[in-house]
Formats: sequence, structure tokens, C-alpha cells
Amino acid sequence: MSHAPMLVCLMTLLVATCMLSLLVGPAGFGWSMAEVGETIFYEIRVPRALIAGTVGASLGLAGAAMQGLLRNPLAEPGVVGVSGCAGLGAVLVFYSGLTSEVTMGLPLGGMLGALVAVWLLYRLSDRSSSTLSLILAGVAINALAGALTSLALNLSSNPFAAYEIVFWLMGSFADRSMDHVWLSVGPVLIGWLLLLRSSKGLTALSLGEETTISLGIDVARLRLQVILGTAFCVGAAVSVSGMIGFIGLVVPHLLRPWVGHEPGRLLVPSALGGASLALLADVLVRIIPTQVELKIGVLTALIGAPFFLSLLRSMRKELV
Amino acid sequence: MFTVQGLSVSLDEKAVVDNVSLDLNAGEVLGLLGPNGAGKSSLLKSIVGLLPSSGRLTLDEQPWLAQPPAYRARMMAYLSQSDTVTWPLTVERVVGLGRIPHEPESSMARRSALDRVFEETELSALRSRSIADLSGGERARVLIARCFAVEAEYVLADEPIAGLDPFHQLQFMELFAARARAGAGVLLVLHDLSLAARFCDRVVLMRDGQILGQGTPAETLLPALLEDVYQVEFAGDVNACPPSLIPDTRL
Repeated sequence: MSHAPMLVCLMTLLVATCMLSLLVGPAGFGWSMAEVGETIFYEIRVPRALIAGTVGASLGLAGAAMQGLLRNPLAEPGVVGVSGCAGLGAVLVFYSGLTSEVTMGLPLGGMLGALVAVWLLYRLSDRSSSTLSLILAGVAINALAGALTSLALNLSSNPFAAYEIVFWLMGSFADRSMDHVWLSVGPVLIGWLLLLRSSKGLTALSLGEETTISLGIDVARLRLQVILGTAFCVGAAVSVSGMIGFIGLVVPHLLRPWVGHEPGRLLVPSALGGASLALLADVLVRIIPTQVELKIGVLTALIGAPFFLSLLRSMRKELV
Repeated sequence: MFTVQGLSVSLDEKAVVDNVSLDLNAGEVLGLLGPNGAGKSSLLKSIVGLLPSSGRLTLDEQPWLAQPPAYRARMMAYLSQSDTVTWPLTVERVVGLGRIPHEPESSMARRSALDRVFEETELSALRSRSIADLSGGERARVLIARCFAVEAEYVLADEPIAGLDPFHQLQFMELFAARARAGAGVLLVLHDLSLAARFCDRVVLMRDGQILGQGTPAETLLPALLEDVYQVEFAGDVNACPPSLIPDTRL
């Protein structure tokens, strides 16, 4: 039952996609400094790969952890509105001009938004693992975040700023600098740590809440840990990359059978797989020949939404 | 000995358990009987620490709820009425989660504990199966095995045989009785009076959060008292013809 071979595969995949991400770009395919140019390599490709990797890992990890906590395979930061609220938080900070005054303003806004969303989600989905109540809670939270984001855009006095926000919200790793990396790395790491530490509790939670408590596990603490961990890493991730959906849904779903469906053991593989998928998608948007570079959030939504539909279809029996 | 003294539980300002006192001894099966809404589940949950309560709970004269959660989890195993397994884990893994209170534990100790439980519950053949592929009866037996895997001195089970056919009901009652013979104190919420009469050393009758009677089945499960508890008429003697398994039936 060891899943070491799978971890090795995922790590190899991560290294490979990372290399690819550093090699591919509009300035040409290449590795040596002469071919690409030192500036392009260090100022553009390295931060872009770092952000794609950390954001992807955060989304994969947070998806797996939320699915464990809510005991539902459809819980995903984007689907249930956590990314939307994080985006709203970041937009509000952006809009209010706080970014120029507070260095950490953007990630803080994202984290606060994500925190509100996870907390709401937990309250609304009535602590049962019912798919319907989870999806409905997600719909409501997404609607709220969407409405408030639209309001901010609507009231924006500068149409160019609004345009910029809309494009930013679509999600992308392009034109990010090392500043973005430094801005997000702290909260992302704290989030990862919190989520990874919840592994044992999430596996126990497969047995139900009462049984888990009777096994001596502090479920209230576990819940708080996952909520805070998700808010930290998804909030910070969204604040540097915009909204990138479905990574947290697709990756854990594909990897789950390989870890015997154990929520706790799904965490690390989902982080590795999420990072690889984000890096790969980011390479794809660079090589797909469109006039304007495709936004990665658009690409993951195009792939993820049909995947989500087919997952819903397979769970139809449970929904009735 | 586990002792409950003057225990009360309130939900939404309504007393669902009202000043209840009872003892649970090592090596006995204690049946908790009463109509739906009598407060049986709430009583169990408050003992396990799932519901806030007032009153005095002691294990061997030591205050119970003040003990660390890990210690309480090792001393008392609880089988919930409503909890189900979310993911299609293997039977081995589900039962193995019952060892959490003993962590950190050597893999050898863990293995031998699980072997004992699988043998006792006769589930060895299903160990590598996914719980999602099992029948309702098999799944219920896996959850009992999970509860037994804790190897706790006290076992509390909330309607463990609800929804099972008579054959499986008898099998499961045999399992609990065997646990008690091995030295555990077993508290079961039951609805089947004749099974209670056959398997319980003592029974407690509850209605509206209060205890209306307790003692051996022969002295407690009497038509007059049962009519008070359940508000229905009992024509025969529930102690008279308890069912039993056909000899030499395997689980």
C-alpha cells in the first residue's frame, strides 16, 4: 500500500514541467543565457515558474484538504466561491488604493476574502457532507462575491483600471516579478504547513464527526486549521495570480484512487500534482498560437468545467 | 466501574436527559431502552463528551470529562448511530482507524491488535475489500470492528443492530456479549425487547429524559412498566421466548 512510487512519479513530473516552463516562451526555446537572455530568464521566466508552481500547489492542496473536511469530492476553492471571495478581497484593496500604502495589502485582502468564504461555506453547508447543500452554498457565495466585484468595477471612475482588474481576475502568471513571489511566499508557506498538519485528522474524519471526536481528535481545532490554512494559501495565491479554477478539483480527483481514497494521504500528492498542472497549463497558454496570450484561468476553466459536469453526472444518484 | 450521577442534558433549553444516574460495570452488557426521543442517544453522547452536560461522570472514582481526550478515547469506544464512512476506504483501513487513540504504536502491536479484531468479528476475508462494495450487514459489522479495534474497557453503541435482519441482529448481539465476557463494560441502546431480555445483564428503561426503571431483564421488563415506558400494551412476557441462533451457524 506504499505510495512512494507515485510520489516519485509526481516529483519527476514537477521537475519536468518546471524545466519546460523555464525553457519555453515568446523569446524562444532555450536554456543557455545567450539564447534567451539573462534578463528574460531571471526576471520573467523564473518568477513565472515559481508563482505557477506555488499557486498550483496551493490550489491542489487546498482542494484536497477542503474535500477531506467537508467530506465531499466537489469541494474546490473555485467552485465553492473561496477564490471568488479572495479575488473580491484583492480587488477591494486594489480599488481603495491601499496597495501603495501597505506592501502586504493585496495578499492580506485575498486572505481575508478567502477566510470569510471558507467560514461562510462551513456554516452554510450545515456540517453534513450533502453535495446539494455544499453546491448551493458555493453558488450563494460565488453570487455574492461576483455581485460585489461587479459593484466595485461598476463604480470604478477609471475605465482602464476596471479593464485591468477584469483581466487580472481571469488569472495569469504572466508579467509577474520576484516581488510577487516574496509577497505571497510567507502566507502560502503558513497555509501549506497548516493543511499538511491536518492530515491525520482528515483521514479520521472519513468516519464521521462524532466518531472522530470519540477517537480523541479535536475536530474543532482541525476545522479551524483547515479553514485558516485554505484562507492563507488560496488567498495569497489568488492575490498574485487572479482566479484559476478547477485545479483543486481535477488533481485530487485523479490522484485519489492511488492513495486508497485516504484524505490525509492525498494532500502531498495533490500539491505536487497541482503544481505540475499549473506549470503545464502555463506552458500551454504560451505556445497555443492565439493573437492575445490566453489567460491560464480561462484555459483551466475550459478544461475543468466539463470535468466538473461529468463528475456531477457520476454523482447523480447521490444528488436525488 | 463507570458511574453517571445526576446527569442532565439540555438542547434548545429543553431537558432531553433529566437527572439520570446509572452504573456501568466491567464485564456486563447494559441495555438502554425506551421510545424514540427518550434521551438515550443524548445520554450516550454526553458520556462520550459530544454534548455538554451537567452532573457527575466518574471512571473508577476519577472525574471522567476532566481526563485528557486521548485517555478517554483509549478507555471508551463509541459507535455512532448516524456516522457513515465517506470515502471508499478498505476495510483494513477503516478498522485500523480505531487504533488512533493508541498512537504512536509500533507496527507490530498495531498489526496484532487488528488481527485479533478481525478474527473476533470474522471479517478477515474482507480486509482488502473496499467498504463501498460491501452489503449493509457487512458494513455494519466493519463499523463494530472499528469500534472494537480501540480495545477500550468500555464500549458504548447507539442502536448497533437497527436496520438489520433477525439473523444479523443475533450475530451482532453475540459479538457484544463476547466483548463483555472478555471484560469490557458494554452499554447498548436497543429497541428489541426480546434481544435485550436475552443478552443484557441489566437494562435501563428511559422515557422523556428520565429513568423509569432499571435492573435485571426479568425484574424490569414487566408488562406494567413497559406500558408506562412505551405507551403500548404488551400481551405476552418478553422474557419468555427470546430468539436464538441455530446452533453452529457461522457469522
